[in-house]
Amino acid sequence: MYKIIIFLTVFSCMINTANAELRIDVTGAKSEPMPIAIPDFIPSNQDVNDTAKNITKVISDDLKNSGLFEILNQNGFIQKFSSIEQRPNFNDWQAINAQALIQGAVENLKDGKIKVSFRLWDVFASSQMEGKVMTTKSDNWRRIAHIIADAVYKRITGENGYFDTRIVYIAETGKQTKKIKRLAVMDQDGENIRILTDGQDMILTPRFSPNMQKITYLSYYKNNPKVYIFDMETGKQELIGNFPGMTFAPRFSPDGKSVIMSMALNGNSDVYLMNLTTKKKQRLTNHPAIDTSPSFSPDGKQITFNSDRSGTPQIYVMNADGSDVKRISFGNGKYATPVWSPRGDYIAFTKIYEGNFYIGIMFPDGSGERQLASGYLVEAPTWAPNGRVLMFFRQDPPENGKPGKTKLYTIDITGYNERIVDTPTDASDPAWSPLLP
Amino acid sequence: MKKPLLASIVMHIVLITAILIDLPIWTHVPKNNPKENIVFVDLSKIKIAEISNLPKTKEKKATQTNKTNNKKNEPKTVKIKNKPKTKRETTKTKKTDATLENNQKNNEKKQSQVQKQDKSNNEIKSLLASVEKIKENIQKEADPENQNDKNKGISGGNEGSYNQILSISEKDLISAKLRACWSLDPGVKNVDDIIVEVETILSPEGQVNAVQIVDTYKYNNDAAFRAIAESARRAVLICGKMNEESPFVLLAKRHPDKYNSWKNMRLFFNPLDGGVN
Repeated sequence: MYKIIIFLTVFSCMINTANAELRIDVTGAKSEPMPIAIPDFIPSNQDVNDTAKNITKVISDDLKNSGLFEILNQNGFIQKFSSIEQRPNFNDWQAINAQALIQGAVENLKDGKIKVSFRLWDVFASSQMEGKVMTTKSDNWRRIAHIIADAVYKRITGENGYFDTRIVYIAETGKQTKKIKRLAVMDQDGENIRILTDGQDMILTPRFSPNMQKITYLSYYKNNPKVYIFDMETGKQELIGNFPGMTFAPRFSPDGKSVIMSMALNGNSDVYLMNLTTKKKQRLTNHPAIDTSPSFSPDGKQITFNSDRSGTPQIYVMNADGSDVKRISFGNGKYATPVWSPRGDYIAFTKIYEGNFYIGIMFPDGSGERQLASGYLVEAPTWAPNGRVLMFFRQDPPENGKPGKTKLYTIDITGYNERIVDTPTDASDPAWSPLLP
Repeated sequence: MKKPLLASIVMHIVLITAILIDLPIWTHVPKNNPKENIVFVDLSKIKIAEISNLPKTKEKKATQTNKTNNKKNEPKTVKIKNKPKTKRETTKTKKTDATLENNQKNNEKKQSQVQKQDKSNNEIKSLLASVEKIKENIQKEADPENQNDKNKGISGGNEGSYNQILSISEKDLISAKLRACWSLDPGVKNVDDIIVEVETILSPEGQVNAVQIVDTYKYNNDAAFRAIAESARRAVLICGKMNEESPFVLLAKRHPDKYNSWKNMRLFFNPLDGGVN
């Protein structure tokens, strides 16, 4: 009997496989920018004509600068929209190889407000991917454009955007021997620059607080280098703590309640944590070597820092209470300024090897080290809030006895798409803000 | 006159039924091991037979099968298979004084099982041979024009199994074309860990009638997965619009007679080396 059962089973399996679906494995993909069509947003009347064009341009620039999108030339568009309610003719957009389409409109409201609406279409799936309507003051159009670009970026890549963010940096002017360094803030695309300090005291290493209300930095106020906090609303600066030695390299904890920094006393530097509410200080490292540049992991459970306890500056990781210190960098050269990625998967650093400077990333266990950018002097990496893009400054080599220019650059963690961020003066020490609230 | 005829018919029916159901009394199946034969039937052998449906390798596989059979016929293999039972029996015998007698009985049982396995092996072989014959017939019927394509598969003259719809090189071609249509952001976190399964329904002309992402839960709850899944769906649709260059049109032209085999296609998109790690 069992023979019959087996025979029937084998036979039925055979018949089943004969009618089975065809299975194909597709392994590996190309990484080309996605062609996206962005027709000008449709203005409700002439008053918002320029605003509609400007919003379209900012969205296009944001997406293009990310390196993940190819903005298609408007001259090639077949379909012209007269309303945001007009459904796209997808064949027209497929014909120009657009894979995504942004359709938008700007409406003029009373009291100087505008209503901006947009739809994101998947051209080949012929379906809407995203759609939003926003109302704001008309002079806030730039932020609206960044918010739309973030929404498109997130919907298509699956990761948060970083366009509605700001950069705090050091604006440098004057001669090399007498440089004036001011605290400055701008949008991530280099627009809306504001100078925050008068330049009387040299300022270095500014860092945003998580809610962006405050900036902590090193100031040579009265030639006494100490860590200060600048309040964005009041414009006042306040000394952090009463440390006996020089404090430097500050950075906020992820919850914004504490500042982690280094203090140098009697030739020794160690890492300290200071609670901003209770003013309580906690010493996290205790080693005769120089321990500096501390940076929290995004969950606040670990800290990466720089130390020369092994003989050369290397990157270390320890628990937030200072326990379980582990060295993670073992490559050739010296390592400095480690910064933990906001998404937790990488630590960015500066590396000096055979006279060249590099910006690189590695996993928190020290593996997978990759160099992303190099130059005569590249330093101070800072992460975009989505952990995809790094900003740093690069100084060109001197020419004819004059020091080279210092500019800000961005680069994707893939190592592609390096771009310069235009600033009116030399710029250094950038720090990227979180997404604006 | 009627009675002998009736008796003859009844006798014939009984005889035929007995042959068909293979009465246990004729094969001396041990009473205490009614399921032993089911345990013995090793499905892996049947799988080997399917994979080795190739003239040259058939012999090798067959010898391999014999080898494994021989191995399994060795007392050690049998011991492993019957290990739980032996354990139980050993524990029982510990409680009784008739340990030696039981062990002898067990050995006799094992020997009879080994003999039984030999018999069954021969039966399975004949059974598989008949299955292979049927397979060959079906293949001839379904694929009369493509006999020359048989050797286009694995280098070394592999013809592929009878139910292989496409040769490996044809599958590679379709995969390569889809890969060329697939573009994704390599910087997405954990991109290498994501595999997207997509179902497609194709027309006889190779047009994409429908594309569906299989894992709808992940699609609705994981933004990174959704982005990659949509890029995979887009790849199918973009490839589908490529007219003569479309992998599906190519399929329709090469194998119009196998439409039922490829009209439902299951695609597995794996970024793998697409990541930045």
